[in-house]
Parts: sequence; C-alpha cells; structure tokens
Amino acid sequence: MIILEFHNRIVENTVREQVMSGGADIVDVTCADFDGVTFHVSSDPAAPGFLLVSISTRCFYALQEYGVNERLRAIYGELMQAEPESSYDATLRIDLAKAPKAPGFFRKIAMLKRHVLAAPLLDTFEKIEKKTAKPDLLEIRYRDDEAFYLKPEGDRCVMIFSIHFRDMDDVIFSKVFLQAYADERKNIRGSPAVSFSQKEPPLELQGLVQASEEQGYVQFVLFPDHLHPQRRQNTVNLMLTFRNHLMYHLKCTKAAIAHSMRERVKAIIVILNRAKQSFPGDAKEKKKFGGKTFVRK
Amino acid sequence: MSQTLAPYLNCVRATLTAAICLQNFGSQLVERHNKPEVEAKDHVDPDGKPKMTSRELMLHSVVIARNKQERVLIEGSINSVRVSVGVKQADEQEVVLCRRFMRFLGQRAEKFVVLRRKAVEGYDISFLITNTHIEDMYKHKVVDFIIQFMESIDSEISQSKLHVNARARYSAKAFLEATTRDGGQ
Repeated sequence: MIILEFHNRIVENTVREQVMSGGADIVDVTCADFDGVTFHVSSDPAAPGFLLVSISTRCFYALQEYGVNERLRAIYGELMQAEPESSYDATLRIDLAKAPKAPGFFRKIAMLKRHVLAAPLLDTFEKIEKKTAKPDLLEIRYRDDEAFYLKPEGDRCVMIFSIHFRDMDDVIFSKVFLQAYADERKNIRGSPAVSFSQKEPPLELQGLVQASEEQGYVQFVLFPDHLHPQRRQNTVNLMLTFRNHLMYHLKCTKAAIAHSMRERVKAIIVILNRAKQSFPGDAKEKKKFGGKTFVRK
Repeated sequence: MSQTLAPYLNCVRATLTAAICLQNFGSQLVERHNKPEVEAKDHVDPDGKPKMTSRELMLHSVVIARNKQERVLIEGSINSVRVSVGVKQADEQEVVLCRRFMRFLGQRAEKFVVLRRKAVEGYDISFLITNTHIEDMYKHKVVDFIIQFMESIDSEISQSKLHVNARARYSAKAFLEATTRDGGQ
C-alpha cells in the first residue's frame, strides 16, 4: 500500500457485518485511527437493531468554526445525531433494518474521520473559489504537538504541516524523503509545489511558532487546479493523509533496513563459521558394541 | 575509491597476521586470573590513576589510515589483540545508518565471538581476539573474516542508503501523481 487508505477499515468491516446480519450480535468496538482520533461502534443499548458510530477528535471545537456540524449533516442526513455520545464529538445512528446493503454506504460511514477533518479545507477552498477568502493564517492543531496551517493566497492555497519528530534519526531520513518530493515534483506536471525546512519555521509562520530541533515544516502550494470542484475532494483526501503517509514510509524504511541488516549478519556468521577448526577427535557419530549408534549433538 | 582500497586492506591484513601471534599468559597482577592484557591496560584505580600496567606485554599500537575517517587501530599484546575500525561516513544519512548498524552488531556481539560490544573511543566498531579464539579457529581465516567484515559494512551502508532513496522517490512519485488525478470522496 503506497498511499494509505482514507477510510477506517475497522469501522467499515464492523458496520458491514452488522448491517448484513441485521444486528444479530451485540458489538462494542473502540478503535483508534491516525491523528489521535477514536471511534466507538456499538449496538445502541436503548434500542436493539440500531448501531451507533461515534468519533472523537482533539480539535473538534476548532472545527466548528468551519461548519463541521452542518457539513456532516449534509453528508449523513438523518443518521447524524443532534447530541453526540458522551465524551465523543459526533454520533451517527444507523437503523440496521433500513440501512442499504451497499459497499458505498459502509465506505461512507468509514470515512467519518475524513469528513470531520475536511471541514476547514473545504471551507477555505470554497471561499477561495468565491473570492471571499481572507488572507489570514488558519491553524488547526489536530495532534498534541503538530498542526496544519492554511493560508489563502489569491487563487491558490498554501498548506503547511508542522511535524514533530520524536527520533532524531527520523529528522535526517525525512530530509531525504522531502528532498525526493521536491525533486519528483519537477517531473510531474500539475502537482503542488513542495518545500520543506527543518527547525526553522517558514516565513508564514515566523513569530507564531517556536523553532525547535525536532520540528519539521512541509509546505504545499495548491494551485487552482487542485482546488477546482472536480479535483477538490481528491486533494482534501491526500492532504489529510500526507503526514501519516510520510511517517508510514519512514517507518517502513527503517524496518526494511533492519531486515537487510539481519540478513547481512547471517551472511557474516557463515563466514565466521568457516574459520572454526574441526578436530579429528570430534567425531559426531560413534558405533556402540550392541550395534546401536551414539550420535553426539 | 577502489584504487586505494586494495592496498589499505592488504596492509591491514599483513599487520593483523603479524599481530595475531598469541599465547596463553596468566595475569601477572592477580593470582589465578587470566585476562586479555590489551583490555587490562586501560584499567584505572577508583581515584583515576592508571593501574600498574605490564608494559613489557604490549606491542606498539599501529594506526593504518586511509584518510581522516577511515582508519584501523591495532593494539597487540601477548595474549590478545584489539582491532578498532573507523568507518567512512560521507554525509548525515551515512552517519545515521552507520550508527544504527554498529549498535545492531554490538547487540549481537556474542554471536560474532570476536566482536566487542562497545567500540573503542573515536572508532565505530572493535574486535577483541584472544588466544582461546585462535586455539579454536584458523588464524588466517580470522584475519579473512575481519577484512570481509570491513568490506561488508561499507556495502551494507551504501545498500541501505539506496533503499532509503528508492523508497523516498517511489512514495513521493505515487503521492504527487495522485494529486493530479480527479475525483475523490
């Protein structure tokens, strides 16, 4: 999987099972997704035959400014509950008897996280199209120590990710990765402009954030083509997974390196074993008088 | 690069062959103890003064340097030899990869028998060969092993670097190409 999936597979599978079986079993699944998001899929204790799907994100309060509740209602219609479950930010209530047994429906439920986090991006892109966007910097702190920033600039949008690296080795590997992005970008027409910096925040963020050894900043310039309604949803999908995509591939690389080191170690041990002497008195098999054979391990 | 590599490795090989002339030698300082003397020479008293070392048991240390970074330190003594290797690290990425690989090997030092868990100060990896090892293994094969080990470290680091670059390019290409496509939802 090169690009991570945009939907949550656990939620999709659970909803599918429940709808197909008509709610035969009681479920209570709490699962996590990227970016500190928690899902809760459970059979409604008050009413059998109903499934509750709830989501909690760190930044829901900030997202309300971008009309996240209205957008969710527009997508999910009557499934969306006015009052979310306690300690969650939004809840969908599915009537298992009436739910369509279509993969598209299950996928739509599983994309709940994407729809929640897309609110600020869609809001900004729509404003840019209508030319009502203010050139202010918007900050969405979707993780504890990371945020993404949106800045409309005429008919373009600048999106900046601040990424916190816990491991200093990651910082160096990520430089290689982001350099590859900057290089590949020249060969692919129609891709957004990419630039990155380590430690020093880019101009747009200067003064707003503290410089730190462990922070990296990646800047995308999204052109009108990307914001166009035809491509807008695709752009939102990709931008929301970018940070996780980068970290996922970084970790895969580290795993691949560890694997190749292990192979190398095996090869070296073989060479070492050639150095060992074998002594003539070291016979492994000896025959005993009774006709049996004694094998020394 | 390979023009200076072969003479460098040949020099290391010749020096090692000369240095690995080991015999059993019980400790002169402690009764009934048998220590690798080349390790014992570094010991210090609790108050920081170096212990009385038996300098007659030590050979002169030799450093074979290809350049400032790539060098081999060979310290010999009567019953043990310590070989420390400095590995070439051209850029940041190689520094990281080298450090990871050396730590990986150090953790498996027992498996390698002659490897030291911690490298000597200023070097990336160290070996300790004692007379008991030479009693079990052919000397020329041990020297072969060390030379091949040095070569394999270099090749491993360059291979890992290629891996990282290839994956970086591939994932970047996939992501950026996806941004040029329509649709979504």
